[in-house]
Amino acid sequence: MKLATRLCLLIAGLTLAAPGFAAKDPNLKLIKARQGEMQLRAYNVGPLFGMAKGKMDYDAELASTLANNLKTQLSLKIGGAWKKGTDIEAYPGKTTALGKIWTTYPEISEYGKKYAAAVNELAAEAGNGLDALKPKISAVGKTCKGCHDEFREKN
Amino acid sequence: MIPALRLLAAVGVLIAASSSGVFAQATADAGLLARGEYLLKISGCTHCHTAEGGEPLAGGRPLETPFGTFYTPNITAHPTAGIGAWSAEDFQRALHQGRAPDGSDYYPAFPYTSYTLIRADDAFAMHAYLMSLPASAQPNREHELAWFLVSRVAATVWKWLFFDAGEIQQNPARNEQWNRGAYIAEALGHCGECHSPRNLLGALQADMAYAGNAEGPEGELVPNITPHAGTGIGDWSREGLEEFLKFGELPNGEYTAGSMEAVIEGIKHLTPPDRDALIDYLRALPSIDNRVRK
Repeated sequence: MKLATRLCLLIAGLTLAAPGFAAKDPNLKLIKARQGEMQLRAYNVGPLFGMAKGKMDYDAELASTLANNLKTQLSLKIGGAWKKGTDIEAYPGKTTALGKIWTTYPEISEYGKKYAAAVNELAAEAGNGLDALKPKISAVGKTCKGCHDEFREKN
Repeated sequence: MIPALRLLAAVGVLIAASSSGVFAQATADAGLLARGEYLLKISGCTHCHTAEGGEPLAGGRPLETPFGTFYTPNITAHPTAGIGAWSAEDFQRALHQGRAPDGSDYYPAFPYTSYTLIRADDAFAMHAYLMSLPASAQPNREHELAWFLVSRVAATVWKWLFFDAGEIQQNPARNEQWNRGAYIAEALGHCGECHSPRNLLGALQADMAYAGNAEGPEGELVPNITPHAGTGIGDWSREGLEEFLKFGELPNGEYTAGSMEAVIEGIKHLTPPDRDALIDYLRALPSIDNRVRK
């Protein structure tokens, strides 16, 4: 085989393999897993805010279901997805998690406790009418923002 | 015409004239009150002057700052607990000059640095509307401030250093829409009070206007709202900004929370033309590259 052909093959092989190498970094799976869990929270929270803000009609059954989904999510044991070293410095463009999560640990768990308490109250009240939902979803939103302000890169 | 008929006609004309006058007056008042109500909503008065779960505008909301905790006062029409004894001019002076009717100066936790720009006739409309609402006897709570700020003289010194009173001036180089947007953002909405960083003495940094503030109210992070694409609102669509100003919904489907959620409760009432003007104004701000982080 001529050298030029061999080089071409080598380059082609490396190009094909590169994404494969990247996908083999197990930390990326962890990042995706925790982002998935956050997206699920957003999926549940979105219509609750939509109802509270007058963007959609209040639906007691849906509100209760979504709020209880959030409550169920609290029981997930996925701390392993929040592995030290998987921050924005190490994975720019992949995550917005600031290294502060780990350097100030366990500070973040205090935020988690506030969120859990707010979600439990939300689950108890979401189905009891729009006026019951409003303050509870606001309280949840506040705990989301509190944690994001501290530990998530803006934008 | 016989005298009796003339008399009757004259009485009829008089009644018609006086009742239409009363009607005109009532309409004018209703118009003034409606305008005052609108201005009050979009200026965020109710949000700051109402404690959580408290009577509207009766004050008592804590504002935590690096200088201590301020408690907003009662601005209902109550003659002693509120501002019921104030004249419309007293009210306008408070907004415009940051000065109470007794001559004492306000701390800049009250955003008169922005409200000074409010036009006098708008201030009078706001006052008229406030006076039309139920009065609350809720007493004001003392601020809890650092010892060197307890005297209002500190506010006087601060004002001497950082404050110049002056109504907003029309910028002839810009169109009507931009000027209306400027009035909403700078004067009524006082957006820059939270969205701009402050110096060590608590004065707004003019060169960083709207570029965000890592030490916002209640320690919140306040985002950059200049049109910078990476760190501001440069990559937001017009529809995205509209959705945000109406519902507090962010482009990524999340909703704003905390202080801005309460602000949206007021500015969601912006009329479509006013909302458009505000959006135009914000999008025409100087773009500042500033990523806000704690």
